[in-house]
Amino acid sequence: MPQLLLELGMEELPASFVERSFQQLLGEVISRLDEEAISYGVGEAIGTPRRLIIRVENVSDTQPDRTAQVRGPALKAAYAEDGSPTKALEGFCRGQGVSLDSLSKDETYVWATKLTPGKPTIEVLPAVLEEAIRALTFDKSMRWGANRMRFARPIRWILASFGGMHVPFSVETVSSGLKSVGHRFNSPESFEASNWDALVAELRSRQVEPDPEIRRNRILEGAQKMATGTPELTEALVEENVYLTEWPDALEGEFKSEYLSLPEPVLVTAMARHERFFPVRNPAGKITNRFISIRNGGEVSTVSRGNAWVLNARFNDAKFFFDEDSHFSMDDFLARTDRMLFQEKLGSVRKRADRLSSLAGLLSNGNEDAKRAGLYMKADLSTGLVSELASLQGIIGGEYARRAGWSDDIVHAISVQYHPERAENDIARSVIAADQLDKLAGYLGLGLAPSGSSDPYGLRRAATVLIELAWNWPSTQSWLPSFRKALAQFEGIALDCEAAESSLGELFAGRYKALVSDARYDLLEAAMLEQDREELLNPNAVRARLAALQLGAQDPALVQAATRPLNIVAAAKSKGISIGSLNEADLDSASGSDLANAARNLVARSSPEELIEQIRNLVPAINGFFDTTMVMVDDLKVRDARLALLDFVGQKLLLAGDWTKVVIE
Amino acid sequence: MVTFQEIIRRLDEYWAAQGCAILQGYDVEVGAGTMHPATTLRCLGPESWNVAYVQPSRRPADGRYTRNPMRNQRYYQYQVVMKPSPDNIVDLYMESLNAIGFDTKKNDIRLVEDDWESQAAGAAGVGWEVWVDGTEVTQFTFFQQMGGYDCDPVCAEITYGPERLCLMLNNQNSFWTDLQWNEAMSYKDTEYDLEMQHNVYNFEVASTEMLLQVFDLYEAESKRVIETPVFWDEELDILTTREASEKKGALVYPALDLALKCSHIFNILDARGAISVTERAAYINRIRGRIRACCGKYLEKFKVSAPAS
Repeated sequence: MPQLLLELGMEELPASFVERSFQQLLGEVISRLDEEAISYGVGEAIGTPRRLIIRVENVSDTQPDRTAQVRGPALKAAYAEDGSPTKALEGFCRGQGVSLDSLSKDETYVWATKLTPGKPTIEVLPAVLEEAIRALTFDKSMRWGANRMRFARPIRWILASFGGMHVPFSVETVSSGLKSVGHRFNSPESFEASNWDALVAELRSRQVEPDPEIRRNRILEGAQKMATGTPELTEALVEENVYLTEWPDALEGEFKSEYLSLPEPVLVTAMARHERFFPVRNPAGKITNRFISIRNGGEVSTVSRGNAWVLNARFNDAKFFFDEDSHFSMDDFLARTDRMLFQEKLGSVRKRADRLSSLAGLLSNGNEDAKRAGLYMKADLSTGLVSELASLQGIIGGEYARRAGWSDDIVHAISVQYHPERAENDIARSVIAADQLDKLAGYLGLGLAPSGSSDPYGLRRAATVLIELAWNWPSTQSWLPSFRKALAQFEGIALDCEAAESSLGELFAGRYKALVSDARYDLLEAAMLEQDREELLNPNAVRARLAALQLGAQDPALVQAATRPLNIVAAAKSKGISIGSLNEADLDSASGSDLANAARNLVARSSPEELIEQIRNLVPAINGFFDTTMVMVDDLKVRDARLALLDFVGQKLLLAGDWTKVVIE
Repeated sequence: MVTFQEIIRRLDEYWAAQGCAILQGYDVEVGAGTMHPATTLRCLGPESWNVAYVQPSRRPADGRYTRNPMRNQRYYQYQVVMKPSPDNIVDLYMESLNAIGFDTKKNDIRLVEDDWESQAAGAAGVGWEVWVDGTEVTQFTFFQQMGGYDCDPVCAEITYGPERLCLMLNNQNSFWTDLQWNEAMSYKDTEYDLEMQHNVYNFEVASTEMLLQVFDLYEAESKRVIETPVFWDEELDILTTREASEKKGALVYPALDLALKCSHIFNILDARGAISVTERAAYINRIRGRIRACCGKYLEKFKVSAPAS
């Protein structure tokens, strides 16, 4: 059976669109073949920035006949009393093109069986293909010329073949044909192809490799072969090059070695990020003045010279700022941040530096390096190099601190300020935490909490950093006391501290849900203890409780027993009964005394396994108490003593979380 | 060696042959060729419009006291606008590279996704940066909006940096030591003093106090002018402030000039660091408001008026 072949030619698509688009195009064609009841075999999709190509094999060349039941008039309206057909029924038959004797009936209606004869597939395909193309969706689309249509980039040609026959249709001003074109510059003339093998072979002879996997191998192998050293073949950059080219060819170039004096991140950013080149390292792992570029055309000597020219120009630009900056000290940079505003009401970046320094000191038990790193961590904002390469803020500051001869700990802390996962010691962690806490305290204190999808100040990210920092730094306690210290740093600025703490709690709750999205929702709710802000803001405690609850939730009897004391105390409190402290003398219950003793033995903060084991051991005592003892008795003294006991037990149970939120499955 | 004026001459010749009228740069300070009314206003509306021109452009913050070999605060843009964008506009552009001295079979030419947006102009477009062997030589944009209004039909805007093109073609490295305006005169001969003095003015001398006041004045004047009613005197065939007929017009061009003044003043203030991050957004909004008002009035002339009874 015939092959369906479609090639959609466009002006260069954004690299990140290509793969999704050819996959989607195949899916859209297949779903429409399904709708038309046309059978088909395997499908395949490939593409380049200029073309999306799909094939579907063994497509049936005719559509099967289809029948449908069409409801006609009600029986009462269809036939006269003598059983003869009414005008209404005759009209229905004419309209549907069926004869009177082909009708069927049920209890209320007349039905016609309507036959739609299958069409030749070639007649169905024009609409299928046009709609499939129009159905493609993109992250961003555009209009061009006088067209109404929106698409990722202008469409230039369409090749559509069914078993070698042209499938005629148009999309806006472009009509389909059996013609394609080769490489934009090396082989621009059009050629004819009417099946997949021929198209792919023709394209390869015209310097277009349509298969992205083959392009990828060519890039990887070429880069390794050409490089005098080890090319840094990061996956994302390889992928981008696969979809920036139709005929990739790796070549090695060389920039002026004098620029090796620039900080490595500056060199890597210019090569990989701005030019899409692969940096080349020597056996010791140091950046060399070689790079691999992936050309799509041109002559090696010309392209190589041009690539080197642009890198030298970029490095010269960076070197200009790097050298300019070298005339100034870290103190000069710090002083210049006095003119830079952090936030209108929160003052200058310079003022913030003092807050960060003292906060980093408080978080690190007064470590002098932490204070110094905090003070200078944002100083590079006023350097020329950061004004050029904003993405390197922090890294440049670290380089300049190193250049000034500062200790490795300070250099490290400043350098990793945007990369908490790279923090290697408590000094760096204190400095990173100070940065986030100050930002959160200031913005939340002004009432600028993120809402909906809008988070212009990156406060969710800040909360995430604090949570992950704590998880990687198990000695971290609740952030609440540190947050209060951060709030207290804003002298002379009116902040709403209570609102800030409450907003921070909400931010943390939202972040936990995003960060442990694989956990059961009810268990996470139970583990957060949202009503207890200090506990909510303690990521390690939340995580430990979640682990304990995940163990405990497997035992329904345990959950039931653990829930009862909490529920009864909560109900009593809601009636306005105040709960006193443990008073065994008035309990008047032997099993109550047993329960008190058992609960007293439960010690805080062991491992989740131990904690659950201890709570499990408490279960017989809880059940024993409830089996033998009535809590809400008339004697208020006894009642209060029993409630106080349950509250005492409840506090122990809360070490693992709020059991009342756990859903028993 | 190819000179700076030769590059411009070749671009003029090429685009003239494609049917573009070769205009001259606008005589109000602008940050880019896009702000020439030949693009800002004419990219709107249904008429076809094919032009090319050199626009001297000012970006005070880019000044480097001539110490950066490829960046200055006043430089040139070569701008092409074709509306509606022809189907083969990319092919036409590629041929222009051959026309100025590149060789599309020898150089590696790429279209790399780069969408363009100007908040101050309420403008947005979709397109590419064009790379020649890794160097960005052109911004290629299909305009989608200007002044917040949809462009319909869509124009293609092609913006070249002739200084850089010239350096690349000659394998040279600096505007200041290498670039020749013509065989006899260098780019430095014509541009150096102006560049240096404007750097000092922009960064050190300009009175921010005065500029802040002037911004307010120009803004208010632009608003007053665009709201001033004017009418066609059918008899004399002139536009007048007298209520000569029911046929209204608007002073779009004068009001836009005043808005462009605001934009340039803002750019100097910004270069001086005299505008904080939060104020920045407010100033940009004010400029956008003025440009949008001009675009809106400009578009009114294409509205089908009710037939006279």
